[in-house]
Amino acid sequence: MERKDRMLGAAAVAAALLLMFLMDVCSAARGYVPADGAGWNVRICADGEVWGIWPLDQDREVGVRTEDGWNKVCIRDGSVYMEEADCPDGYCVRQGHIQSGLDTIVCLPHKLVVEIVDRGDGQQEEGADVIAR
Amino acid sequence: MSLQDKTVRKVAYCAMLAAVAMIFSYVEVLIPIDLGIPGAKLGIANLVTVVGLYFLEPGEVLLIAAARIFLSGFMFGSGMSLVYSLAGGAASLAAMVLCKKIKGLSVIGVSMAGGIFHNAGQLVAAILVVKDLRLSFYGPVLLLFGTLTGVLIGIASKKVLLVVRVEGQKITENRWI
Repeated sequence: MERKDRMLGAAAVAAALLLMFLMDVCSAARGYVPADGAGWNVRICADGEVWGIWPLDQDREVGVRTEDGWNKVCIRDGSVYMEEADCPDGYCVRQGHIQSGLDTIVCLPHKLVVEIVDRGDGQQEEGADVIAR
Repeated sequence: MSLQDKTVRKVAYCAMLAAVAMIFSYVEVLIPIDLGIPGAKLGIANLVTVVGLYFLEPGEVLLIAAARIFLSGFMFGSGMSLVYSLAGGAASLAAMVLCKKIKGLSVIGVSMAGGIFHNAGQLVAAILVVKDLRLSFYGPVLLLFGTLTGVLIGIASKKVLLVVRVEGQKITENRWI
């Protein structure tokens, strides 16, 4: 490996670590999400549009059916996870639980993004197709 | 060697590399290495693109890469995967062609740039498809991962190029072609 190769590699790794650090700082600046999720919402966006917003501190299951496919999002004990999806790759399900202000679950084939937002970021909206618990 | 011989030789090289790239894509479909990050793959097929850059013209490498992406996209891909492959492949090839012009950057450096820009291209495509800028939070992880896979593919390319150069020399000397 030549000197310039090493320089390029070091620059890339340094940039990545710096960005990760900045993201942590941003996450901390947005506020701390308590373990039970009080004061925070779960927002589901499909194809760039808000599909629904639910409080993070109330357990529920949300079925999301769009023309791209079907996903089942679970909100439980202050964290969110994708329980089921009929997408071809299944990455969204394997992504597991998220519980901090900058985490997202993405289902790329279904153009679905699940994120945790500050309660001020979106008004309470009762979405359709909520599976009651 | 006549002009016709040269053309025949280039066509043969391109076809051979396209075939190898297809097989590499297939191997990666058979043995997926799951790292928990959507779309994060080793990208063995890029080995062919990197190696190709060192003994073919950029236009010919573009043809090989395009053939590989379209063929494997239609054969093993699902849904939008062709779009991501195209975005990644185009960004990566453009970056590698430019980086190859920089003096002092070896195969490994060129391949590193390819890996980084492959992931960058795919991320931009994903942001456009999902229409959510928050996807850019995957950027740092993908940058780190692209560098790592780029180095690995670069090291492999270096080994392959050594053999290809020696064998290529033998073939020309013995006038097998």
